[in-house]
Amino acid sequence: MPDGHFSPDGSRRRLLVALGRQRVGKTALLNALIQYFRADGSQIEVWNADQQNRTHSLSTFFSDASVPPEGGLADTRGWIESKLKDQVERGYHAVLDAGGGVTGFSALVEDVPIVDALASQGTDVIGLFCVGPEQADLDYLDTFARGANFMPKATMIVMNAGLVTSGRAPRAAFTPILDNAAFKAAVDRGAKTVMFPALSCMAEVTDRGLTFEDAAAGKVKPGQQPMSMFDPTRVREWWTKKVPDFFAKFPPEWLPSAQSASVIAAEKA
Amino acid sequence: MESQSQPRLTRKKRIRQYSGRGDIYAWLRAHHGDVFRRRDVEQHPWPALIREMVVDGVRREDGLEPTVKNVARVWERVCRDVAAEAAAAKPKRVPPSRISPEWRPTVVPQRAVAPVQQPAPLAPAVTPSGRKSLVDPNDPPHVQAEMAKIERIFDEDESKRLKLY
Repeated sequence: MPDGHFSPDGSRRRLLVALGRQRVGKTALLNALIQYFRADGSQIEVWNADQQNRTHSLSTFFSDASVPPEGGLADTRGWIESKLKDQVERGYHAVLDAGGGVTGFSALVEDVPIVDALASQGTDVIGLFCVGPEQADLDYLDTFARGANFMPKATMIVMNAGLVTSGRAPRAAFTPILDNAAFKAAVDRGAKTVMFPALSCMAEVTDRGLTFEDAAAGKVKPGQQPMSMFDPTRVREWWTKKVPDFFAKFPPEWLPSAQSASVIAAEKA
Repeated sequence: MESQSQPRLTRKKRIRQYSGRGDIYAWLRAHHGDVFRRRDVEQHPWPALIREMVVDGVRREDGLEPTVKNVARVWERVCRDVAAEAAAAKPKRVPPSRISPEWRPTVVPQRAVAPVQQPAPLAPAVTPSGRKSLVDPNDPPHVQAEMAKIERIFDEDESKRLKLY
């Protein structure tokens, strides 16, 4: 039984929250993260509070994703609170897609300093701020950082290379936002930065609701059109090289790693 | 061959086997100091270190070469074990002092300190390519370090693009 402070695998519980405005890649990031770490045996609960995104929400990819009941902000806030309580009691890692705009999550953090409150209960909160190359993409960071509403020590600013217009270099695209005061302030407070690798055929995979492993193997669901000739290779290159490189850049204690059978197997390798 | 002309990143060490642990663990444990320093200066050192491991004959149990994912995970375990051992190590006995217990250092009266003149703000450096560096010398050191890391992310991205064309 978990003792209330640790996951069943013995590590502190982690809650990874993806934040950012609409269409900056929060769901794509979490989709990759959940598939990647579940494949290694991590027990990760999926909380999908993104109620504006129906087509590509986490519930499309994970049949076990929890969703809040129909209702307003207060209902979603209450639902998130109940999930956090459950996590504390049962001990597991979780990811939360908070959605964009004013959300139940933003209402909760305005009300309660949840990072400290959860830390005392054994849950480490990791903020994943997803940004594209537009200045407005940093508004979220600015809003949450101001007044220290939600700026965990474990904050990762994820520059989504998938949002860079084809043919443009990420350096040229992202450099302007690096001068933004909100970005500098977040880095000054300890935020780290990574670049989520682009997958040019991401929509081909997600529109079909495929796992990256299946897409890399060229598998589609019954009745679906096969992917184009080179797309499985593109996905394989991304899934087996670029994505592991991406997660390797995170401090390990910010990730929902499994300390379970797969790791022991790797250690014995 | 390119790999033969490159200097080693780690000093070759004698590899000791650990019960219940594999070759990757043993290699990382033997080279812990070098790997730790490498991670400090390089954002993503694993591919180069894995090449070195492979040269040293390290393989997974299934005979394949280790992946970044394997090595990064085993590294977590190595760091935990090294830290636990260091914490458990008994402090060395301190030899008895020959200095009298009555001895006290001579106190020198403090001199007035001249006010320190703040240096003028520095302009951001310019990279060899003529591009303005992201690192602003006026920022605190930890911000400069993060901006330098972002610069390396972009460099890495561009070098991959160049290889494609």
